[in-house]
Amino acid sequence: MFELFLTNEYATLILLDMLRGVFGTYGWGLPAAWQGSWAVIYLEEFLLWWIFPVVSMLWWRSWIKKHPELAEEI
Amino acid sequence: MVDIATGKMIEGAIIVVWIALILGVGLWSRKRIKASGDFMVGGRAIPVWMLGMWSAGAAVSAWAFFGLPGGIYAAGAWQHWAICTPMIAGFPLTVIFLGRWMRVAAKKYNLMTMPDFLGEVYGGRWIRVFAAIGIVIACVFYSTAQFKAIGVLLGALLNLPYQPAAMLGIAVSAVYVLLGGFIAGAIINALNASMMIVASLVAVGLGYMWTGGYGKMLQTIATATTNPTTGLSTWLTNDAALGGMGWFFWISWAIFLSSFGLVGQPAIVQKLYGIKKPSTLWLWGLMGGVIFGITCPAYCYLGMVTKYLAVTDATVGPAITGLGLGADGVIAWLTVYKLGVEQPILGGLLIAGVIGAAWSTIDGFLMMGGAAIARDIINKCFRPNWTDKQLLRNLRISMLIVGVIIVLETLFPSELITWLAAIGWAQFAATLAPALLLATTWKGVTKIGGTAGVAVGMGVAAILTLVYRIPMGTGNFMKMFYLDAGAWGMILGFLTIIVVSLVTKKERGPLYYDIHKDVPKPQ
Repeated sequence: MFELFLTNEYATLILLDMLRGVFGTYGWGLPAAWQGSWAVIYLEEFLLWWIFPVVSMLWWRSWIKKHPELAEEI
Repeated sequence: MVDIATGKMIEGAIIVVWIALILGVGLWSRKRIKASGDFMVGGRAIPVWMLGMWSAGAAVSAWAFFGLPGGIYAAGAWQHWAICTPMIAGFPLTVIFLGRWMRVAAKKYNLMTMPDFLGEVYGGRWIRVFAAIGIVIACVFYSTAQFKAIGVLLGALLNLPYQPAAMLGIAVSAVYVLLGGFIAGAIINALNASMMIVASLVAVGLGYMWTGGYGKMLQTIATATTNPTTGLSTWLTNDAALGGMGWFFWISWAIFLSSFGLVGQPAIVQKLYGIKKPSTLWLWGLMGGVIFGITCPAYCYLGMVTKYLAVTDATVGPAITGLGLGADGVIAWLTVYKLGVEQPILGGLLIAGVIGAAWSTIDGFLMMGGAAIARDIINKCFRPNWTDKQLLRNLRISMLIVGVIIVLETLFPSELITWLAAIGWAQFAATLAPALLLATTWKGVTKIGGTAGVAVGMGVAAILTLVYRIPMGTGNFMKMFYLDAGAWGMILGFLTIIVVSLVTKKERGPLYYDIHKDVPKPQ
């Protein structure tokens, strides 16, 4: 049920699903034939979906706070 | 379990209530429209969270909620990998490279459209004209995908033929846009995006119940679709599914069109002009990325779930084919025929999510298509003396004309929804993204360089699409040209701006000198 709350579709959960297979006795794991495709999706989804928007926009927020004049109408 | 007639009635009732709510907001917003600035950019006083939701909804559109699941079901999971996910990054990239200048310059130059921005940075009327032509071409493909989705779903639900059903859906959007403009759009699309998030969570929950988990679902599909000779699944392995062109497809979309190409999508980015406080742009980028990342993959997941259902139940494939809609029948079958019997309330929510996604894009097209004609071409280039009242009236007339053109498009047969929308998206990106990105990042741009770049990007993408891409189909086109038509347009657009700017006179528009303060203004 934990998966359901994290909406199984998404990168964090896909990553958990993969780790369960790698370190445990059940779960998906990472079949060799898919490494050229779904392995890339893990990485890409994780980076783009969770890390890049959050980190870049929080950085932009702190940057504009340091330079408030740049957010004024010209 | 209920019978299909009762299920359709319950789902239809949910949709009728949803339509009534949307039209009510449109009527309420009408009183708040006093000038063209209220109509086009909401008086630049709309809370950022509302516009973040609207832009995310416009990016998702019926393409992701209707076309992409069908495309994934029919052709493989690679479409999710290459097209959907990189768009999440497009929102923060837009804020970083373009958003601040669009918003802080909006009042001084009375910016309302993307050609406005280009015209003020590069100078001259021709860049506006070429950009407006590219917008109109892209609108034709992209809007076709939206009304196809509405027509198929409402038609299946209300037992209407496709064309009147599509016209009904478009008419709802046209009414609220003409009445309440940007203000109505912002409120309605905050509701639409909320519905899309609810629908996505429902979709993921249902998918989990039906399949028993992501890993089990993929393993089952892989087993059923593995080619015994190569040992690879043509549905799951990207390169195998694309006949060896997977990485070229990924380069075209992930590096160029989906991520940086989002900068050139007027239906998404024009909303930045309406944000109340420029310092809150970061929230638009974050909300756009996060909402897109919640909703688009959820409906991609439904495409995968339907594939799982088809490989585990021999009756599913023929039932979808029996609708006579090809792969576009996937969501119609899932929501109207499967959920209509099993869980009609959840089915109604999923349908409302799809229709909301289509509306959030159609209203943007009506607004920017009308603005491209009335403001970017006629007002800015040939009739600069219009009063604000005349401009407001002519904007409404132009939007009505664009709405009629879109309705007339329903009379023509069309390709799979995924590809219509992808072609439209690529055309926008090729026409506008190079000039917009270079405008704020490279001080070497010139008037002639920018104009030539927009013309080349627009022309290359349109010609490759119309002459080769559509007649040949995706796979054959990629084998001959390696990159997507829009990616060629975008790359050549960039190169043209750089090369032509280096060898032409250093003429620029007034906004250029605000952006690049260290370059002295000519006297």
